[in-house]
Amino acid sequence: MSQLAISVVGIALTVAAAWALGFRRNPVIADAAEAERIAADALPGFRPVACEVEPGGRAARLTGADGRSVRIAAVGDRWSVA
Amino acid sequence: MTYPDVIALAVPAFVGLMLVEMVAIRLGAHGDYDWRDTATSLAMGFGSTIAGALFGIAVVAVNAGLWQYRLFDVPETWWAVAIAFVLYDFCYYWFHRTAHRVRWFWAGHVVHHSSQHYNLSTALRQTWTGFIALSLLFYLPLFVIGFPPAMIAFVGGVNLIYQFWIHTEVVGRLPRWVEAVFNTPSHHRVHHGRNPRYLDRNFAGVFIIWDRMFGTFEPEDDAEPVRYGLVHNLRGFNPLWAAFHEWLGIARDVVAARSWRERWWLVAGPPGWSADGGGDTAEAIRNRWRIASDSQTERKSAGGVMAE
Repeated sequence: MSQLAISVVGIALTVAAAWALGFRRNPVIADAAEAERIAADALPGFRPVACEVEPGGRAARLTGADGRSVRIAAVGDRWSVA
Repeated sequence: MTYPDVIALAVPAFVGLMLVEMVAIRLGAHGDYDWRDTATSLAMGFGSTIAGALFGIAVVAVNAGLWQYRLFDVPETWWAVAIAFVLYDFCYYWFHRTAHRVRWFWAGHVVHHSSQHYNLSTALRQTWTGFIALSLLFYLPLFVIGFPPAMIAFVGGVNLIYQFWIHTEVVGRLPRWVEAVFNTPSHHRVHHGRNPRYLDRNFAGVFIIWDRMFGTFEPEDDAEPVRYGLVHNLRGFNPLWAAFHEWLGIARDVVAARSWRERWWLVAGPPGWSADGGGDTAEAIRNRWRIASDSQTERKSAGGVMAE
């Protein structure tokens, strides 16, 4: 039991250290061009024809030339494209 | 011969080295962290030790049971430990390669690749479902040969510890002979890449020679920085979702499948397989990338001829 408690404290301290050292960025999508770059990076061959960056810049929705609809959403300091 | 619990001994070093890596990055070394990503990785590592304790008894029983029928009595000597270490790594290579090529095994392993970061905390992002995925099957031949279960547990622990330090961007390239023989941060960065060039490459645990021998080696190309994570990255940091999402995906796909043949391929085929042939398997992604690269090269050379 004490080993588990020590592990939980170790995890909490490590995560707190990451936060305290500034590893807590929340990037935003500046404009449609950046959204298109993120999508193209994640989906080779994807050619966007329409893009709408959501308010706050933490997500965007794109439509591809092939009809695909793609949503970019922030995952911490990275992006998920689906 | 008694063997130390090397993983328990190494845990304080894991924590210390993560802190050192964070500070080094802040001082200008290459690499990155995100506190939420690290929290998920460490929660996965913690859960993995719980799962290991829960299923460990069954694993030990299977291993010890099989050892009763061993072909040889391998002595507990230093040279037997050395041979066990190399053979364990060979088994690990085939486990790891299968874990990327067969969706059932991938469902257990995917969690380790679910971070878009590559740092020492990523090393601790371990599966909770390795027992369900039957990963122990790959090591059973060692017990049939006659290596004592405690010896295999020891070399397995050392193997796992070795793989901790290679999860970093802080270390660039090591001397050529090291890169030729051992799995290194450079080789393993490639393994965690989702770039088409890097998909399903460098499966080694300790010795990169297995990849060189079996045609799965890919060197890190400085011109193509590694993009870490999955082909389809997770949308959040929930450890439960990270642990079980692929199992749920298998269940969903099997229920929706139209034939038993299709169900078989959805479970035993490569990750990303789909019945219509348009899936995102590593092979399909690599082929699409190659075709796109070739046509780009052709356009460039045609443009060059026109320019001349």
